[in-house]
Amino acid sequence: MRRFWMIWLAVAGLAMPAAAVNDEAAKAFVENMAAKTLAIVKTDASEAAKQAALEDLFRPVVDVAFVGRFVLGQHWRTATPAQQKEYLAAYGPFLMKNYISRLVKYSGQQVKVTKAVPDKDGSVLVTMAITAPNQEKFFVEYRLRPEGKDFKLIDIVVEGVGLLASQRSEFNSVVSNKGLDYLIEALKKKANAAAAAS
Amino acid sequence: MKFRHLAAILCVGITLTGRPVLAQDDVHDPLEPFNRGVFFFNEAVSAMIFTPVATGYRAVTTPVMRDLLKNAADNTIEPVSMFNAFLQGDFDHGMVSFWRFIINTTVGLGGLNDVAVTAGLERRQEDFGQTLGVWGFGEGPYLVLPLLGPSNFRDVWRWPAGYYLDPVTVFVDDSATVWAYIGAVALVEYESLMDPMNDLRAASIDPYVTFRSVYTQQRRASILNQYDQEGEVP
Repeated sequence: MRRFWMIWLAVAGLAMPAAAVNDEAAKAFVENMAAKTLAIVKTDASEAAKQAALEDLFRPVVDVAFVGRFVLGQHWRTATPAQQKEYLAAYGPFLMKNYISRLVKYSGQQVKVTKAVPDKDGSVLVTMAITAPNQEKFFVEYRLRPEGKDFKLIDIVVEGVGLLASQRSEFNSVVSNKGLDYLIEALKKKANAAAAAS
Repeated sequence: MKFRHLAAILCVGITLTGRPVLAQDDVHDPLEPFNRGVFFFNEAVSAMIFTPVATGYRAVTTPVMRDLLKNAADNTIEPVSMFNAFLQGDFDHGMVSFWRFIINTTVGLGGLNDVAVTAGLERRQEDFGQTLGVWGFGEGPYLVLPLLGPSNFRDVWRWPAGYYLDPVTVFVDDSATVWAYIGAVALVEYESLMDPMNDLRAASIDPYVTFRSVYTQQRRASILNQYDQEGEVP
């Protein structure tokens, strides 16, 4: 009994400082990404060049396989391996073109990482305050999953609205009504449309 | 002893697995076919009337003018936020809202300038739907209202309540003035939402579901008042 508790305490003791270190690292990670993003969008380069640079910056950081699988929900399990592969191949560019590329629309906002809170599933929620003159401050949360010494971005929550949650219900509706192949085609079209519009 | 082992294991188990933290928006939408019809109607009205009007408004104003008018529109509905904060038992924010209205209406020249925010009095919109939420009413089935957009059986009450908590609609007798006021506030608020809504539409394969999800998540967060000034989530 006593030994059990000692083991338990040791585990808890080890876990706690590690978690604290993780939070600071997660904060630093987001600060670093924000600084790199701002460095890209503030240059005089063309929009296309900026978008390419942003995509290069985020591609290794966003866990497309995890996010893509999550937002497909129950339909992931019923998909054939070929469909799963094609879906993920379409989902990555869709995500990049529709969300990451949009960051070029930067117009002088100030960002500040306010805090990092570990969540029970081992991920860390990092909150960032975004302010601009004459605009109301708003908050964005980034959910990061530790991976080795680094982090992967798995969700973005803007003022309580989560990207994963919205996409999951959207995709569920599309697949339920029209099937997975329709969704895959639509993702490809949306990625191309977003790329063409920019 | 066995029991305590079990309890300890359960504790560890819970800390390791935790709740499923990736939020889901389990929206109850039994009226979906009807709602989709109204949504389709609203999208058509937006495209054919609201967006052209808001684009015209953009053409005749500068960004600075629009910021000032947005402040003024927000200021006129500040009393609604104040009354609702008090109804929610949130005395602190009720007073913040009260002082915002007094300071911005006077020093801020009829609300054109949000000077209160520089004094740390941050705006937070509170409506009667949020108040009902704080009182413990569930959101009920999702509902798309003609012209007013996403709502639900609880939040629909924000509209009549807003009408009776707004000094302009209560004290001004001339109905043409009241409608002009409502139209002006609606135009300014619509213009400020036009770009984010277009971004949402562009990125969505099923905009009906995207708007439903965004609305529901936003309302849940605004009832919890999840974000205070330091971005602390309590």
